[in-house]
Amino acid sequence: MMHMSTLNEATNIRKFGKDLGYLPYMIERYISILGEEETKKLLQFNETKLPQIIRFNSLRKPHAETEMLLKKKQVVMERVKNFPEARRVIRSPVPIGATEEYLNGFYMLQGENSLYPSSILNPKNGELVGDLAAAPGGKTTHLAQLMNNRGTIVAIEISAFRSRSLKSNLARMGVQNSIVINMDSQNIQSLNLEFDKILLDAPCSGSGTIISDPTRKISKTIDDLLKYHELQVSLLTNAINVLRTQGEIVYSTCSLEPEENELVITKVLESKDMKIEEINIIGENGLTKFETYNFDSEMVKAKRLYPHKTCGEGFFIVKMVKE
Amino acid sequence: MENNDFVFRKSSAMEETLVLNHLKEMFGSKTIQSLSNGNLWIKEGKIKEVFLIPEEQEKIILKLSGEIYYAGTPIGSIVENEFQLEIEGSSLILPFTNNKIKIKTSQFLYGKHIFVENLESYSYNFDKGDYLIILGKNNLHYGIGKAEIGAKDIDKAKQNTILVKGLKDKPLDRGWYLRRGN
Ligand SMILES: C[S@@+](CC[C@H](N)C(=O)[O-])C[C@H]1O[C@@H](n2cnc3c(N)ncnc32)[C@H](O)[C@@H]1O
Repeated sequence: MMHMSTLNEATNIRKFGKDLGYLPYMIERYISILGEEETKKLLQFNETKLPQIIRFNSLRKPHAETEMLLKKKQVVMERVKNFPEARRVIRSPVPIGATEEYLNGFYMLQGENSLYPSSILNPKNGELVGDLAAAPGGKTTHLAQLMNNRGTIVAIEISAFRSRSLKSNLARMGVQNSIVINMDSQNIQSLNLEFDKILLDAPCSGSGTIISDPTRKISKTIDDLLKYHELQVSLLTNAINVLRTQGEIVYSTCSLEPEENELVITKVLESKDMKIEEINIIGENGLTKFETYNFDSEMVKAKRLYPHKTCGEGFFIVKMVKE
Repeated sequence: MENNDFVFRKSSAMEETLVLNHLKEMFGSKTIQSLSNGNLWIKEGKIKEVFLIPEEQEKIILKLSGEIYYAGTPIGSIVENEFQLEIEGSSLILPFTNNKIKIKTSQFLYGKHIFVENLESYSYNFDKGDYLIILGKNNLHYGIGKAEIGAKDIDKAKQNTILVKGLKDKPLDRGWYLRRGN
């Protein structure tokens, strides 16, 4: 039987969540995954503002020079742990997303946790890399930077509208090694390519980004999550089909929902020979069960980045190698 | 998916000549070097967009059956048989040309005109109609434009005389990335 104070605490959090405008099912599942105390912290964190992070772009300018140019503009920045190429903007008298340096592609505005997927994929000069859900290109431009504009990125985006911002970012950031295709990545096999590495930063319900999009508190039902699940399984299965043996794939979402994360991987592992690799980053281990679902035991090697614990947007990241 | 009525293909010999002649005549023959690490491709839609594509990517493009939306570096466009160098193309040739002016203000980045009094310095005696690469503070690249008056007439020009026209609806200044890109 639940302890009285825990019961009260859970009731309080449900009320807190309701007052903040969340659909009740969301609060229930966060309590079940995180416990009451952490759920409260998550909800509180989602009411704050994320710091602005910029990633210096060595394809355009050495980091130190960009840093100096921004300092001349009185922009105050601090280093970001684990990412020598990134800075947290503490204060800026100018809009950081509209400076001449930004327009010259000397840096990208990019959430801290969204720097992990491309880094974990760790693409090398000369490799053929697929980015199967690419717009607006935060991670594509990061991949190009890690590859030093060598090798090739095939960046796929289904939305013609969003492809425009992808194109704009690639041009602005001086990316020269990308090929953008406006298509459904579920049909990726039709391209007849075999990739060394693939990033699938999948379309998702976005529950890890409520801090910047509060409409997500009510915009998605459990049915919606299951629809995303179907699409994600299909995208991942097709992605694996075009990966070479021993090729690597990073699957990521900015969602905290197990249906879009552990359940997707568990489902795909039923039919595909993939080995989950340990990734050595911040975050909590992936779940092995949730409500009535049991997940593959290897899911502990995946990472869940909770917003309130990482001071960033929520992410799920897993790396797999094709056997 | 919208806007599927385009073709992505290798440039014809005539298109390539058009681009190379434009660069040579307008910016000097050294600028051709900036194209040395790739080949020209055309995305043909309402206008012809010109891309510089390195050979490594070209090999893959030649294998692809899907429709290519973008590749390599977009350098300009061909409209009515005339080549127009655009933002990234002008940035690419920058180290190889003298056609540069430096300006004191940033209104060009908003698609606005540059007036004679905004000019800080220029490195060669341009004539009316010449193309100029526009640089701003700290020599940062702003874009490309056409001289409305020659360098020799600048001293005599009245205030508010337009030196380079800003064209909001064309990808000629880097502010385009904010106006149209996001
Ligand atoms: C999470 S966003 C990707 C963000 C991007 N990776 C970045 O770092 O900037 C997912 C993208 O996938 C696209 N998308 C959705 N379904 C797709 C599909 N079936 N094939 C290709 N792209 C798809 C969406 O339009 C959206 O732009």
